[in-house]
Amino acid sequence: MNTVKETTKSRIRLSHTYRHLKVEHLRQNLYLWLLILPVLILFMFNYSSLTYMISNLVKSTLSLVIPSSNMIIRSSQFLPYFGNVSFIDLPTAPYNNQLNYITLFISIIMLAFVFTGRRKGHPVSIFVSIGLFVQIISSLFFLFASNDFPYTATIYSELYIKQQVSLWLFFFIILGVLTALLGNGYFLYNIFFLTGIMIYSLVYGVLRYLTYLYILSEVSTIYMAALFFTFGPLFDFLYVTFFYGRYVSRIISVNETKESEDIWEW
Amino acid sequence: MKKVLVIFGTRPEAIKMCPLVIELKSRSQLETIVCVTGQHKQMLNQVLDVFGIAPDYDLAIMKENQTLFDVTNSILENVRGILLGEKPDLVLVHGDTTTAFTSALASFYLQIPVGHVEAGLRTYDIYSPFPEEFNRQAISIISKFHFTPTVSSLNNLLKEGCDSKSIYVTGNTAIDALKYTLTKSYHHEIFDWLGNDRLILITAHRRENLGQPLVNMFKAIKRVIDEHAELKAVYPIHLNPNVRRVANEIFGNSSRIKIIEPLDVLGFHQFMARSYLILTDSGGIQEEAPSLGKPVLVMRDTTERPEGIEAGTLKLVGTSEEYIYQTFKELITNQEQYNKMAYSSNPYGDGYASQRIVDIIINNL
Repeated sequence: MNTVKETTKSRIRLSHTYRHLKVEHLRQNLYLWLLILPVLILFMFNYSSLTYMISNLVKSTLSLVIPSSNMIIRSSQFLPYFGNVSFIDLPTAPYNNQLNYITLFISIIMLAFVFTGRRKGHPVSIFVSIGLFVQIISSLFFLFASNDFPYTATIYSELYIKQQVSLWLFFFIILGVLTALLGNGYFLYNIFFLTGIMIYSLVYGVLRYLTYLYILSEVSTIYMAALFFTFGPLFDFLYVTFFYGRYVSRIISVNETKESEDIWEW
Repeated sequence: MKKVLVIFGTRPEAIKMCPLVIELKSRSQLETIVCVTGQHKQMLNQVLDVFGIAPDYDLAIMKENQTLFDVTNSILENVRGILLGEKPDLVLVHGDTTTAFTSALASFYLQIPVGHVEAGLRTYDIYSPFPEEFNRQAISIISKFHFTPTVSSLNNLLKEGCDSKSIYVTGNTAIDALKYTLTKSYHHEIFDWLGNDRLILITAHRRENLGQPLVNMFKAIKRVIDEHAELKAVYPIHLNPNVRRVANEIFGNSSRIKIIEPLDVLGFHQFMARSYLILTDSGGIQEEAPSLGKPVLVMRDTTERPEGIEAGTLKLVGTSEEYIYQTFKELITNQEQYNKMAYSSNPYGDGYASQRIVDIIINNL
């Protein structure tokens, strides 16, 4: 005859509601205070150099299309006591009415396309439609009030770098705390996960900075809003959530085996 | 060998063009001719002496009560003769003066390429500053090379339809000039009078500020100086009699405000370096002072130097007595705010603008 516990187990997985993993508080604290905190402090004292390196790299790459002398690496105040951030001061592409009309026309056509047939309701369609909707509003704004648009490529460049450093700080803190809570006893896996996501974020952040600056300086600022709302900070949270989901699944699958059943607590 | 003709006529122009002339003359690939119009004769010669530059042509057009019509006519006719005689490959003008505009116009009539130093500054109010805003916009239409001090100036030109390939961000040559003028051995009798007190440096002469705005500015400054015993102010006064009369009326009886004769560029830069804070309606000082770590209150309603405001080195305080008084007082009493302005980095250049401009000319002429 099956015990109550075995019957329950066959219907409800160990990781489900009201259970949590057993935690070794000492190990958790050591992980947080001796690893996460020092690395965080190290990052805070070095983001100034990091942003300078990124700006230098992006400037060198952009100098293939924009005269190098017309781009200046400037610094701006960020967190008190931890130093400034560097960003690129660069030309802004002048507004082009014809390009705006073409963009508006294509955006409306594409919006109608993603809302019809089998594409309707598909996650990719929803994502694309958000970008198109923002682009249509942006194009309409430029159509009637292009002179009132307050942002230049330089202002965006500065905001981007500040936003990116803030995201890196936030991601590191939040993922450091989460891995401490969930990944107790999986030290190497935690390190691999944290390092992986920060490297991914760094590479993606630099490539995105390069692409955005190229578009705003060489093509048009009419795309600024759409770029921000599609592949901007919201997208960062999207990929972090994706990686975090994979991480949690991995932790759960490791702990779902019968041998490890006793590490789950009610 | 390519021939470059450099034309300027006012003191601020000379301060910014002299480092460029020195750099041009140091290059063997170029022959450099210097022409001064003498739009501000006396003050111009002081600057030329400091930099050790002897002009090849001195038009000496300045006369009593000269109007814009006089200056324009005189320069246009005189520069024509020099252009026809010298046949330069490039004419370099600076900024927004009537000398710069008229020389550019004369070059255009003879189809000689023009290089515009400190291009792209704008307020987009054709009457403020007057006539400078018109002058610089008109020069931009004529110029082949636009040497802008900042990216923001470059953006102004792009918006107006200038070819991006003709615009170069070089920084401001005003910063280059500091390399030639600052010296520890300089002494002025006013420094003895100052002792350990904090020096407030004042400059005010702008045409659109004459009349009530000037009165407001001086009254506000006097109120703060009277309230703070640790402050002393020095006002190297402009030659304009309308400015002198108002200054003497308001500052005349103050024991802690000294009105002195105009300083040469060497002296003025030393005073800037010695100062605690600068109140000005001048353009060039807004660019130079941040390199010396001095906060600047700009007594104008608009500025064509928004980068300084954004960078935090300048504050636009307008010409209302109460607002100037409040902002000036706040900066004197709030050390944190003072430090924030003093330690902001200068967006106007690194002291190598002249070198960049000459490199561009050699590579593109």
